[in-house]
Amino acid sequence: MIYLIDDDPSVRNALHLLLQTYELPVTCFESPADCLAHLDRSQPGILITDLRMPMMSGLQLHEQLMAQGVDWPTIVITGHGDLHACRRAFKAGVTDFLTKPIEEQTLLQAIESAQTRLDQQAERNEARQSLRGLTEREREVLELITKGLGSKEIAAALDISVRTVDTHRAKLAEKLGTGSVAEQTRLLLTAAL
Amino acid sequence: MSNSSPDYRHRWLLALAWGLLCALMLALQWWQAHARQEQEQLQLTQTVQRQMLEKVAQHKAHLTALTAVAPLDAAKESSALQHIAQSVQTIYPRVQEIQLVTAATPATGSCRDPAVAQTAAPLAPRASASLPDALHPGHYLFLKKIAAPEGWLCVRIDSSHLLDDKVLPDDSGLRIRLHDHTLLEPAAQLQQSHKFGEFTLAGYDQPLQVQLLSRPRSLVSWSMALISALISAMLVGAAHLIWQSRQQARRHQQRAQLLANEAQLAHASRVNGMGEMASGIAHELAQPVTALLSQSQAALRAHELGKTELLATALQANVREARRAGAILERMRSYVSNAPSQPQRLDLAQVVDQALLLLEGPARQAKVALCWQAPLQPCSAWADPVALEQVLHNLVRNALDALGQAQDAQAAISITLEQSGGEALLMVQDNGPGMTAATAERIFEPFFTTKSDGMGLGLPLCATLMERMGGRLEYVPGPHGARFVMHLPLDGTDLPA
Repeated sequence: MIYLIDDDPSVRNALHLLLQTYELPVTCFESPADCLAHLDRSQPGILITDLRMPMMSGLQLHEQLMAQGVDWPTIVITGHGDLHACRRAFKAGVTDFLTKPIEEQTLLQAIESAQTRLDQQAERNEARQSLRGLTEREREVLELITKGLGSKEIAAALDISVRTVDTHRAKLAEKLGTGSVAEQTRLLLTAAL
Repeated sequence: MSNSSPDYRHRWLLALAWGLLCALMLALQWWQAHARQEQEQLQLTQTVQRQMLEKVAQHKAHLTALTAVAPLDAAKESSALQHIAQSVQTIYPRVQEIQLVTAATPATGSCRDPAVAQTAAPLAPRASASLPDALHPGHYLFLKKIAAPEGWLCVRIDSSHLLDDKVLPDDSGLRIRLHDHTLLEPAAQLQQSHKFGEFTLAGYDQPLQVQLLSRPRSLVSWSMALISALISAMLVGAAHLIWQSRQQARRHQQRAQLLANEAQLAHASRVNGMGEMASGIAHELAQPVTALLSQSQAALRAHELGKTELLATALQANVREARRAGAILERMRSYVSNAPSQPQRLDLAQVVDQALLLLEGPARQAKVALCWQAPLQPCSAWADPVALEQVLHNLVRNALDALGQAQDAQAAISITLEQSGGEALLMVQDNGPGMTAATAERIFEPFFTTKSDGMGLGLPLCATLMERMGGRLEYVPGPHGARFVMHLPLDGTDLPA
């Protein structure tokens, strides 16, 4: 989902129309306040916001959303492509900074990389979710597995029986949905991103 | 001088200086005249004293001479006394009577006064004395005791002739007393006059006490006062002219300095202003151009995909945006051009409707209510629609900015239109924080702004645009918020005949 915030209706409609032709789902907001009030937090997406708007700027909107835990990729567009605003935007953690008028390809690339980032975020969140269900001991066992240790070595390291280690591994495979050492390693790394 | 209109601020100061100078000159004149008068009066007193002393000395001499011949006359051997007396009286008219009083020739006239005998009796032989004459006012008797024949010589003297004519000026007079008896008083109009000299004659047995009096003289004449006034006026005027020309020179210098500063400032603001203007144009045009680009690309995509419905939507939007860009360029042109505006007959309510169309969006976003009710009676005036719309737009935008800072739920801007005194009054009133008097004084100054990103040209430009249309823009401070009134000349055909 793409969330488009611009106070100028013609710019908003034009971008909406363009994105529509790529069959990208778009939700428009006419002001940051409108966005804060009606944004569906349960449906992560890409935020495309104008920088200069009355009452609240695009950067302020971004900061407020971040404070609420909405850390979705944000693309800032502006008619004033000054370096100062650009630097501030990137400092605030904005994904991309585009100047008006916006080239179709530039926009699409920005959306694409934002989408990748969004997917990564989703994956990471998923991985974190899975890891959150593990017990303290299971976590210790998982960390040793990803270091390439076998059950015996793990048992020796944790000063427990091999049987107990195997029970933990079976539990891990069940909770993480995979028994593969490679998959489990990837999950841990993703969560650590 | 080219631009020296009378300096009214200094008028009272000049008058004061003139008055002081005048008074000073008059005081000086008075002081001089007074000193001169004192000198004259002192001299006059001395002259009078000298003359009178001469006269009384003569009396004494007459008596001495008469005393010498008196015994002969008494013995009827001679009539020398008679002769001398006659000649004395002829030569000296003030000597009115000369008598020899003895046992043989008893006193007559004034000499019969018992006081005369009383005065003469105690006198030693050859001694003399004087006393006022009881019979003739203003006269006194001068007596001399003689031994043989025993008796006395008596001379009656008219005190009013003790002084030669013309010695005293007309405004002066004499008072003569003898033994505290007044012999002579000055003329009635001089009796209350100022006494300027006084002496008592001594040495000739006629101790006349003399006072000199004079009417107070005006020490400064009207003509002198007039001349003083004229001279001091000329002096003050000349001083003022010199001072003015110096001021003028200084002002010229200051103005030259100011012009130099202004030129620098103008240059700086032109450079700055061009940057601002370019940035403004870029910002204004960025929106429609962005829309145009995205819509055109969308149209291409729609064309490729064969979605004709989308294509039409995109192209219609393109037309709209291109027009918007054109309107922005038109506005920019009228901003920068100094060409006189083209006033035309306008229905003002329609212009307001048109201008507010563009402002409704921003107002809604700023959560500010726009209150506009067209008047029932149509109001048409001569104005340039583009300029008028621009002024209205600027004023409402300013009000929105002011209210945006306030964050007030009741925030509202009301626009009203009325006719008054041959003028159309279009008013923009907000209920924001208003402005301080100091700010209000400067709002029409170019480059004065209270906004962090403002250029300070909005209101000066509005005022200029209104003036170009033959109207004017006025700020009216009120208890709540700011109120701007646009004055426009009403269309003549709407005026009552």
